[in-house]
Amino acid sequence: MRRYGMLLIVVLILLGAIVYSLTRPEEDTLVLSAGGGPDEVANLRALLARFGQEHPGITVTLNPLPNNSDEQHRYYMTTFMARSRKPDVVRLDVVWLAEFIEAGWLLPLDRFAGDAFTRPFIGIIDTVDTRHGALYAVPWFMDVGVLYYRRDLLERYHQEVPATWSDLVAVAQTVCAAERTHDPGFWGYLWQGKQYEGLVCNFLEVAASAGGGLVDGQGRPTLVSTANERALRFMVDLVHAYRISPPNTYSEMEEEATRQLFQEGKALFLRNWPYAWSLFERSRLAGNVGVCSLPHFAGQESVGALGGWHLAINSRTTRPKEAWELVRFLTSHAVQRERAIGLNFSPTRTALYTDQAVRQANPLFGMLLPVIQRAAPRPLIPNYRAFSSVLQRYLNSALAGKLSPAEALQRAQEEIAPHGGE
Amino acid sequence: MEGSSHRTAQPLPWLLLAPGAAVILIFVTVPVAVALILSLTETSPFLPEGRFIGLANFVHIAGSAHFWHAVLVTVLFTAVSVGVELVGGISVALLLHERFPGRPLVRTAILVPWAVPTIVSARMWQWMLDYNLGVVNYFLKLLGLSAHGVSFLGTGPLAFLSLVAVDAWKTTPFVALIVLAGLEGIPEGLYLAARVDGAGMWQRFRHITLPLLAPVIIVAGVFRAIDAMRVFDIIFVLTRGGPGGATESLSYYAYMLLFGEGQFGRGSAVSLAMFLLVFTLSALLFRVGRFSRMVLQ
Repeated sequence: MRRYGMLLIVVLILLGAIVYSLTRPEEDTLVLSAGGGPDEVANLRALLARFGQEHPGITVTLNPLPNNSDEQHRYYMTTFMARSRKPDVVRLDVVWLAEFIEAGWLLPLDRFAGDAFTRPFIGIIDTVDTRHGALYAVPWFMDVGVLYYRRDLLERYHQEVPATWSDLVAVAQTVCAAERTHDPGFWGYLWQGKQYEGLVCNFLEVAASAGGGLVDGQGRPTLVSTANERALRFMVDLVHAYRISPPNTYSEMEEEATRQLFQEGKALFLRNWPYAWSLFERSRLAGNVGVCSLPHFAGQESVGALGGWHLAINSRTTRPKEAWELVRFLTSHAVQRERAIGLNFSPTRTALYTDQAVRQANPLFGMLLPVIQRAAPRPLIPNYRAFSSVLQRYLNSALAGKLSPAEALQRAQEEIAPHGGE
Repeated sequence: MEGSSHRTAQPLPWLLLAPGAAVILIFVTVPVAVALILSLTETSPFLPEGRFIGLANFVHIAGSAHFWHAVLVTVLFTAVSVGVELVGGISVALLLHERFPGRPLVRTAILVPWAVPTIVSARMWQWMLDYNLGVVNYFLKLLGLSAHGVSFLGTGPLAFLSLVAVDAWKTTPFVALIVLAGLEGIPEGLYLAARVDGAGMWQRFRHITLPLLAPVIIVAGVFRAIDAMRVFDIIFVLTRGGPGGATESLSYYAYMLLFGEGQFGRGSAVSLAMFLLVFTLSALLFRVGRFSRMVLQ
């Protein structure tokens, strides 16, 4: 028996080696790393299959990542610090571009893309994707924070779509009072307050709509201001004073958690990104969800946080030409048009915003372009991670009631100040 | 020259030890050495080659309130969860030591929490504890024990206790099994003699069971303490260190520094500090264990 035991072990090791070598992607397979909601991942797989058919000789595999922006960032951090040659093409959050470019992780694209290529794109290709005069990424789709609302509930209770934050509170409280008689788990306004990047977006929107902001023109932090304090105080009150946002807003609410709760019919208003729209339209809420720009404080302007995802190429890739083919395909007019019509992904080519079919399929787009053009970017500094990490912690502390808004902003400013600047 | 044949350098034992030694060298010694070197540098995405800065990282974290808060969270978590698991594990072991119908099935069933990978069970608990859609709150509301549900992960102390509860759920079976093995090593005759002498249940426990179980309890306790000090996965899944950083343990703090901010130098310094903490605490626990064994006997 002992003899056969040894043989069994040897066979198992051999089998393991064979399975391992078979399941590893070939060295010449292109790898695209991308996160995203369920719709986007499914769409990506279809697009990659089509790309494979149109370009025989190039195989592409999708490496799907979690939807959470921070988790995707950590993945790229580990992968690029390890100087890996894969993935070849990456889908990057706009806030990481300064950092990744400064770290030398992205391939300069000027040898592939000249003025003729960049001209049809929205302005940020020159301001955000270009650094030190060289192009490093191509914007793929825009993202901006918007307000979703239940049209049917507003009609039922004869309420208007709110323009200011105080309007929102008033409307939400009225509807909640009525709805909670038969559904005590009904909420007025869902937003993302958990300790992660999404919290910074939410805060930026409220703060900017009060006249505040995160940094000045030179990238130095400007967290301590009356406007910012007012904004943070308002966010705290949403949970603790007005009680229209659930107590786990700051402990559990990320994009998908709020989207799912809203889709279950448990809320009147929701702050989220445009991706959720097509999911709602395919759910039992179809036809009852409206979208508009976020409210603002009286006398100020409505502001959405600028998001958006860009495609870039790993500077250590072994197949730059093929990687560029993939980037060109995915950001092409045809593909962006499809994704705009089918998935409501806001395109990055200005021509598509006046395309009839796109506007028809997309009631969002009528209001979206101006919102995008007014959107507030997060600080475009290389050290944005450290900035955001500290800010998240203090904002979340204030929301949890552990620090007063003034104290939280003060401490955040003190801790961040050494990191700020270009 | 007699006996020299037993001491000639036979290659076989060394050859057989070589793979194991190689594994330890590659996966333990080398990473610790690299961490040590990294902790003396400033290494980041903008300084990938690293810049030697001596002990500056250690000086910085020694003066950082953030670091000491993480130490506090780690030590507190270890103390509370190991305490709960020891008491729970001993109780469960005592129960399983008795004969009752279905005992083999129960003995296997209690291992399920231990066998499920932590990430999976933490995710499961996250959904169960969810404020809006979680099943725990559903029953609390159904039984009238809570009007609007409890936000288990919403406040610092409650989130901390939830983490302890999830950890205890997973690892109490481990402690129970170790203690059970110890229990089965205690000769039945001792209990018989004690009963003849008129000793009650508590007296039998205090004077026979506990002293003879002491070495086993110490081993289980030290193992659990070392593991608890490294707690990461349940924090990552359930709270992400929140709310407001209240549940950031040392390993989570190191992780945020290393992979969130890309500060490989300072993150390695925190990791080394953690290593020192775990080493010191386990040495201390062994001392305490030996002392209490003397006291109990």
